[in-house]
Amino acid sequence: MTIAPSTDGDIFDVVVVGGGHAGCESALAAARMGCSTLLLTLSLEKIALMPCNPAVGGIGKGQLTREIDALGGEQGLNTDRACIQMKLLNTSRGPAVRALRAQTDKKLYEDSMKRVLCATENLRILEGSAAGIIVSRETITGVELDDGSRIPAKTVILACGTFLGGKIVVGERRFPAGRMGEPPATALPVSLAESGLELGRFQSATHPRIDSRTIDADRMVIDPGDEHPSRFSRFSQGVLRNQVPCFLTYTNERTHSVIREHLHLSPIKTGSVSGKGPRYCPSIDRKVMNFPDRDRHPVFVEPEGRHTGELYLQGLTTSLPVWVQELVIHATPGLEKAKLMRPGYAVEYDYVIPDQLRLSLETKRIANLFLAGQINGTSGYEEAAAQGLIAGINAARSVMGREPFVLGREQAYIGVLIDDLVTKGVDEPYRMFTSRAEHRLLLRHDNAHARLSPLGRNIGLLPQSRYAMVQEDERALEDLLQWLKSTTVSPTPELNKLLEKKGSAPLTEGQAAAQLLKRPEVCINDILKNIGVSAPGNAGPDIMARSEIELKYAGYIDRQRQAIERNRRLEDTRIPPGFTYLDLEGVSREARDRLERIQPATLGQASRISGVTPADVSVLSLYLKERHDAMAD
Amino acid sequence: MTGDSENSIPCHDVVVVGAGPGGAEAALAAAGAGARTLCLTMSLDTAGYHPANPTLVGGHEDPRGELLAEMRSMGCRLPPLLESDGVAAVNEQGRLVADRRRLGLAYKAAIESADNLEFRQALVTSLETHSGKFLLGSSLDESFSAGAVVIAGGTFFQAEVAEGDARSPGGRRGEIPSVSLSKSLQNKGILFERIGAATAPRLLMPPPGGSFPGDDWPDGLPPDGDQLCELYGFGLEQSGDAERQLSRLRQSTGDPAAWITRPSYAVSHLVLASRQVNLRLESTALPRLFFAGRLVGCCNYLESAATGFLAGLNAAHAAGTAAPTCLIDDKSIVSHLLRLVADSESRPVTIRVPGPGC
Repeated sequence: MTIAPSTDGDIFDVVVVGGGHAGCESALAAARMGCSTLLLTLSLEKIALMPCNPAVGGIGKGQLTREIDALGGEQGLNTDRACIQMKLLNTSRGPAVRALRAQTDKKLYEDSMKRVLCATENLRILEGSAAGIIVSRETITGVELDDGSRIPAKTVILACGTFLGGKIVVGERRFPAGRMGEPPATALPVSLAESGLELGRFQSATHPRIDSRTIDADRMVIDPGDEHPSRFSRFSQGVLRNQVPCFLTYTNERTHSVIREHLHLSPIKTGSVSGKGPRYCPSIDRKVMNFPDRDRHPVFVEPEGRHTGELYLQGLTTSLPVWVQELVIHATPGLEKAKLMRPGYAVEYDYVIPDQLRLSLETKRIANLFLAGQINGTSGYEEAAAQGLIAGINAARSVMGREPFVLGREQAYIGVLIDDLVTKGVDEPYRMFTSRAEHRLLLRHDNAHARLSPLGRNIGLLPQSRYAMVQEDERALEDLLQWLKSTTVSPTPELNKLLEKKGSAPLTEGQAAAQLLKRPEVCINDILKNIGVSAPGNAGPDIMARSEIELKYAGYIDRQRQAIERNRRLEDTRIPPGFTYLDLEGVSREARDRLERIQPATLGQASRISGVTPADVSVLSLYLKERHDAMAD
Repeated sequence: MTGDSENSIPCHDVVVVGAGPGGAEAALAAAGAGARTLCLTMSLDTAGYHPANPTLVGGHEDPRGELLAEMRSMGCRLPPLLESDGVAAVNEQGRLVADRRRLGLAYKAAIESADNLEFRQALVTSLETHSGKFLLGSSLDESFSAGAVVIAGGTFFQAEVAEGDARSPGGRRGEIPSVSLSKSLQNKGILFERIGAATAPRLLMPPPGGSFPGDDWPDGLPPDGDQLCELYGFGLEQSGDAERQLSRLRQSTGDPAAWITRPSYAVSHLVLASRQVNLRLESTALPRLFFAGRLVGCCNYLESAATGFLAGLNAAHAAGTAAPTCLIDDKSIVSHLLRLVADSESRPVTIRVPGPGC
């Protein structure tokens, strides 16, 4: 008598614990790949809840969401369904740092995701609380609920968010909670520790919400969203209409002095919040402490949905006492009369130190146990969803007896994310940035589908009908590039006038369009106007934009590809599983310990471990070669 | 410790604690009567929420139908909300079923757009009186002042959730209880007693052709609350852990793959003992303090909403705001409900006589 798909004696292939952004991607991926899957969540009313920003995407994060979409995950599609405003960021900077950011209607986001879960075959959902994992002979065998019920499983994915040992901190108040109003998971972290997993502690803060009727919008900058809003997913239908505006204001000296006056009450100062906080999403208290010469900090005022009066104050994360939060808000231009609807607060929680994971997100210690999301020390819905997708895919592949699906750093931001977590560990909540990706010129928002959809198709997650759309895009791009290379642009007076206006040298003789497009100032529409024809049939604006990027950055892209090739040898040299580093001579003790702990899969991964020097990698490489030669003899 | 003086504590005519159907109606009624009103709830996301039976009116014979009609003429918010797009549906037999999520969101939107009404997330932990006003404190050391207060705390007072043999503090599964406020009220001489309630399980929608015992669901009506894949398991309340419930369901339906999405569980919690409120829903121990909903023993969504509405109007009047009078016919269902609430010795109470359990 256990919880199983039926009484026929089969057990669930995959059990996912947690219905947040990681959990939903895991459950959908596993089910879509044919596994009988169970999603267990504390509350069926809180599926895909966004506890913080009402937004998906941004620098680095938007790239993750695109990649999730390319592989066959859901976040991109769901974001489009719930989108109320869309912006393409960094349009004035290079294509490597361009990303989409969508404001979403939170309730609609939750409802849409739940709808998808309910409509997915092979997927069951259950409301309940996991008290522990069941392990036998270093392999996961299931999950136990608070009420004593057992759910046997072939694989388990833990995606518990901030609930493990969660404590809320506001001013001097500190009490157990997973989120405001929700009890934490107290038994599960104990179970994980007992199974030999090492836990750390982090903290994260969320922003206050105010009543939209009480802001002075006239004193703020209005941001209506892009005039021609894009979509996150390649596969979304329709155009976004009736965008909801956001507002921007800035703190000023008065705001800062209010904060400084009350800093002694901040739990960060008093030390009553333990656990490292996120450097890249610091609370306003921390910003004022750490950047005393900044005379203003931006505060983005973001609607939480179309039909709600709640506005999110991005940039004012805090765990200062509530009455101080109100003083700070009222000292911010445009928010003098703002009425608080939800106070900001900090939450401390346990996470599993991620260097205990393989690149597949399986724990090294317990076979078939996968971890995804904030439990691995990351922050952000996109980072969580990316891990959830990979964990779901790999749980499914484990059930199917297939090798894990691992993306390299040169293939995807998802690869960078997981490699960073697993190889380097985290000392504060990890947030994705474009600067983390050394190959970011290749890993772009615009070419995510070209890179990853073939892989999504191969593993059986991306449906053929969607893959066909991607293939069509690639053909259209190829056609357009060919056309640009073989089409000559003549040096007409109009063209030269346009070039001169743009500060570019005039043409003296005819030139291939592709060649002319290499100039940074020239854009494809300039050329089309000059030639007087439109581009070959099926090239929409996205394809045209991509062709420009490919041509303009060809040199840089080639160089980056060459660098990848040069490192290929390192990346491809596999280290046999179970290789022991303890007897490795010529390698420092520290490096040996780190190597032993991380168990890198390749020389490349080994080279990224902190404490491992290039000399250590050379020694390791020699050992591997000797061992390989010895075995060959 | 808070650093603010009494002068800087925001003062309202009426503060409503709780935003379920009782609290939401109270807040809207008080604000609509011209009182400067503040509605405090531990969770903005569960405003107007109803965790149990999505059937609000069982059929033509159900007195709740009449109650709903009376609520409409009194001016409650619920009747028009039930007519908004996609919120509820009625069948030929007069059965009214609501999409609980949409109804909750509709209440939330109504509260957020009402004049004179502030809405704020806070867990109220204390109630004191001072110079003729009420002073309410929260778990985050916030303070609020009111001329009159309505408390519609639902199933949350010193509540405990029972799932199988496991016990955990909570007003509903996954939600924390309210402990300190009720203690604060007990210290003021207000008497409580403990009652329990069980929720039915939610079941996975059967595939076409399948059915459940007691499933007289006509075509065209929405399934349970979320219009997704769940059915409310009428009459299937049971004890035992999730494993046991699933096993029993599969046995009784003969369907080896039958599935429970939300296992049945029980909540035990405090409600006001008998004779703690008068016909105006005002506390017999503390003037200008009103109670509504489950706390006064109501059994279902409509009763909670109706009592909430009246408590809100009465609170506005008690706070000195000129409230429109709401004449209640002695023979009306509402009147009958109020008499039950004020006079009946037993808890809970319901207009559904002879009623099954709530």
